[in-house]
Order: sequence, then C-alpha cells, then structure tokens
Amino acid sequence: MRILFAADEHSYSAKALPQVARLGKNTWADITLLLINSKNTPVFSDTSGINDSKTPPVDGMMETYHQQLLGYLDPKTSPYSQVRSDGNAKNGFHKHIFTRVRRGNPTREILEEAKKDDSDLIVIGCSTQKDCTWKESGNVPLKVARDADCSVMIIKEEKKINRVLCCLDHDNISQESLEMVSQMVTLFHADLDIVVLTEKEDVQKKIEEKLSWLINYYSTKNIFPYIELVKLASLEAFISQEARWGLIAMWMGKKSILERVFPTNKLSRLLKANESSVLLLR
Amino acid sequence: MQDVLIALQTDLASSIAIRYVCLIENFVRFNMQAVHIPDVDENGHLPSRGWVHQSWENAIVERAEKGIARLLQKENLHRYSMGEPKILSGQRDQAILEELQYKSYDFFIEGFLHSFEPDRFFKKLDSDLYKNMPCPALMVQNLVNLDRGIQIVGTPDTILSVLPWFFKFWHDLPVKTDILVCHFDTSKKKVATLENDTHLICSIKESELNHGKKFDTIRSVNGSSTKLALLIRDHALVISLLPETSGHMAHILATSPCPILLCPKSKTHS
Repeated sequence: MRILFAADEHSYSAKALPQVARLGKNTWADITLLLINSKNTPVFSDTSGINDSKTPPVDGMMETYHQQLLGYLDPKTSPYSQVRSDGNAKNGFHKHIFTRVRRGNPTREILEEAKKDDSDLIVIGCSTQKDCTWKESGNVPLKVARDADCSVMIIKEEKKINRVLCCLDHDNISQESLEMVSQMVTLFHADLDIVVLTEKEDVQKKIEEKLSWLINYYSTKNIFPYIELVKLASLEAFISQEARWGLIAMWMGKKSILERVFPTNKLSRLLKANESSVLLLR
Repeated sequence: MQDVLIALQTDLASSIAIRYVCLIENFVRFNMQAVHIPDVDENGHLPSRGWVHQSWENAIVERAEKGIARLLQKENLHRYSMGEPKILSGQRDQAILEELQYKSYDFFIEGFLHSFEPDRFFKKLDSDLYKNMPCPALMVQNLVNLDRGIQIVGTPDTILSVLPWFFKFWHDLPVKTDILVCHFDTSKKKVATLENDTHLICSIKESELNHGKKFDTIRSVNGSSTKLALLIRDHALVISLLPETSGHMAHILATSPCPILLCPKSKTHS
C-alpha cells in the first residue's frame, strides 16, 4: 500500500500527521510526504539527498514533518525505523518514507504525484474554520477528492474519530475499500455504521447478500457494524444530524449512485457543513 | 426454559436475527420454534410450471421449506431449533398471531432492519401483530456485541411495568444493565439529570432487591425526544413497553438501531 500525504505549511496539515502515522503503522504502507510550496520558492528535495536548491523554510518544514511523523511511531515497532548502524534492516522489513516538494497548482501537483507514486490513498488535512479549504489555495481538498483516481481521506482539524459511517449503495465494492474501512475502524477503535441507500422501501436482494457477507467479514474481525436504511432523499439530512460520526466513508466509483446524489456541489456542501473527516473510496 | 417463536424470511433481517439469538443463547436457553409464512407475491420464477405437475400451493410450501432450510443451515440455527420450522399459509400477521396464541409462547423474535425514516417502525407498531401482541417481541435490528449492555427505558408511568419482563427473561444475561427514566420536555435543549426523582428510584431499587439483581446505573433525565434518543443508541438490547405510535417514546425507539424488546402493557409475568 502507498499513502500520499499532501500538505501545505499550515497547522491543519500538521494536525493530520498523527493519523498518517497511525495509518502507516497499521497498514505498513510506504508513505510519501508531499509538501506543496504555495509560495513558489524553487525547491525540490527528497531523502536521497538530491536538492536543486536549498531554501531553509521549505526544507526545514519538510524536515519538521518528517521528524514529527517518525515521532508519532514507536521506534521499536515502527516499520520505518532507520537502518541500524551495523547496516542490518530491522527484522528484515523496511518501509519507506519519501519526501517531495512540488510547486505550482496544488490540485494538479497532488494528483500528478499520486499518479506517479501509484498511491492507494491520498491523505489531506483541511481547516474546519475555512470551510474545509487550504489557506491561500482555496478548495484544494474538494478538488483532489473529486478528481483523484484513488481513495482520498480528508482529515478535519481536531476531530476525534469514534464512529465511522460507511455509505453503501450497490453490491460492487472493491476488497481494497473494505480493507480500508476495516483499517479505519481498527485504527481509531471506532464503531462502524453501514448505511444502505434505498430508493424504495425494500433493499435489493443483491445488496442484502452483500451486506450479509459484510457482516460476516467484519464480525470475524470482531467488528459488529450497525446497518441502517436511509432513503436517498434523506441522505443529506441523515448525514447532517448531530456530529455523530468522526469519519464518513463513501464509495464513489462509477457505478455508485452517490455520484448522482453527490455531484460536486453537494460533495462540497458535505465537506463544508460537516465536522466529520471524509474518506472517499475508489 | 422459555418457549420462543422466531419468524423467518429468507432475507438479511432474519439472518441478523438468527445470529443475534445465537449470541444470546450462550447465556439464556430457549426452546425455539421457527415459523415461516411464504410470500406468495414474491418476485421470481413461478413454482410448479414445469412438466411435473404439482398443485400451486404444494409447490409454494415446498419452495418455502427449501429456502428456510437453507437459511437455517447457513446460520447454524438447526443446533438450537426444536423440530422442523413451521410453514404457515395466510396473511403473515394473522398467521403469527394465531400461532403465538395457540402455543402461548413466552416471547416472539423477528428481524427488522433499522431505518432512518421512522415511518417503517411506526407502521410496524401499528400492524395487527404488534397491536395484539400477546407476549414480548424482540425486534432484532442489528447484530450487536453483548458487551454494550442492556438499557431498560421508560417514562415515570411505565418503567415499573417493564422491570418484571426484564427479570423474567434477561436476568441471567451477564451484562451491564442500566435504567433510564425519561421525562419528555420539548422545550429543553439539553438533557438534564433529575436528582429529585427519589421516590421512583427507590421503587426501582426495591424491585431490584426483591429479584437479587443490581442495576449498574439508574438515571432519571429530562429533555426533548431528539436529545433523549441519543441515549439509547449504543446498547446490546433496549427494553421498553410497547409504545403508542404517536407518543414520544415511540419516537425515541424509532431512532435506535439496537435490538429492542417491546413488552405488552398488561400480562401476568409469572
């Protein structure tokens, strides 16, 4: 698994780092820390030591993020532990943290890096006070969420994740996205609610079969999800009620009716109006 | 041992109900009888249309038997069930009611998927089956880990009538049990604990002493139904009297995704 953490220089990005560390530790993913240099300072650096130029603020920030990320991990169990002085990799495993700096249009740069990196998940922090935007760059999180080919997790500042809400609207769900939800629930010791979107009163037989399979799948991991039926027309009202969920997960593939229910403007509203972090599964 | 009737369809709700019953069965032993009423309007291939001629009714029953047998096999209920599942014909509510009255079961179980829109729940409460329910009905909406404990919920007028049902059936379940007495007040924006409800709390404590069971917490609270509903969302079982559809209690129960035991108002609990 490969996680791309896209950050700018503001505090909401730093506050998303602990979640990236937890995700990395749980999934043993390679992590790329991507710093978007919105001030257009001509800097490119990576851990292999190739630097086109050395501008302290950007390199310093990247170094801070890198050290902070390592600081959230226990060196004894971290898959990212430094190679020992005797040159042997710990226990034969060694996962990587790459660092990258890009400048230019933040959304385009993040999407390009995700493609180049073959990322499975983009993690991006945003401010809750500024309608889930990036200072100076606007609604980067929304645009990344909308246009990325992989799953995207948008982490709101200081929101504790006690419950994960997963919206299911069809039976064609990828194994990777199920694993991702399972990881989130385990990671945050959270409860899982699966919302089944219905157009009529009844649930389609195929979705029922998938749900039955899901209950089996999750109960073997000692996760007992709540199943709840919600009519499509009530979905926004349902999601907006109380700040019950720390994380809302939605499957946004081509076959999803969520694509229809949540076109860009609605997705934007969901991100802005809700205090929950959002995971868009693909 | 309690005599229990479980109504099964070949659907997810029944599957969840079976799994939940299997969790409880580790602590409370049942004599369980499964019942199935075939849905003759069900979509799909019509039975008995091939060259082997059977009566339409026989074919329906045969298909239902096979479907339920498959479900029981899949969910391992055959380990707990007494005898073969009964396949009854006729209108579902009426057929179940007749069976409940005929054999005087101690309680009834069915799966019922929880819906955000309360109308489905209200419709259920308004059904002939629930209006005339002769025994407690366990409505299994989700499969929940028993560690979450039991919440007995009622108003000052109903709470003491719920307790005998709890003592009769769930006394032996080794899980945390809390009591919540709700004073509905639509003007309240927050839930407040009432410290002066001592008379009612004393009566509850007296009841627990008589039955040798200690409740973990007894709380008397007031607030709007929307706020109080949040207090009954995360339990392995919520126990209440069967509420009136129009009342506040029905509204808070409708929002709870937990399994709910709905007890009739009047019946001897011996």
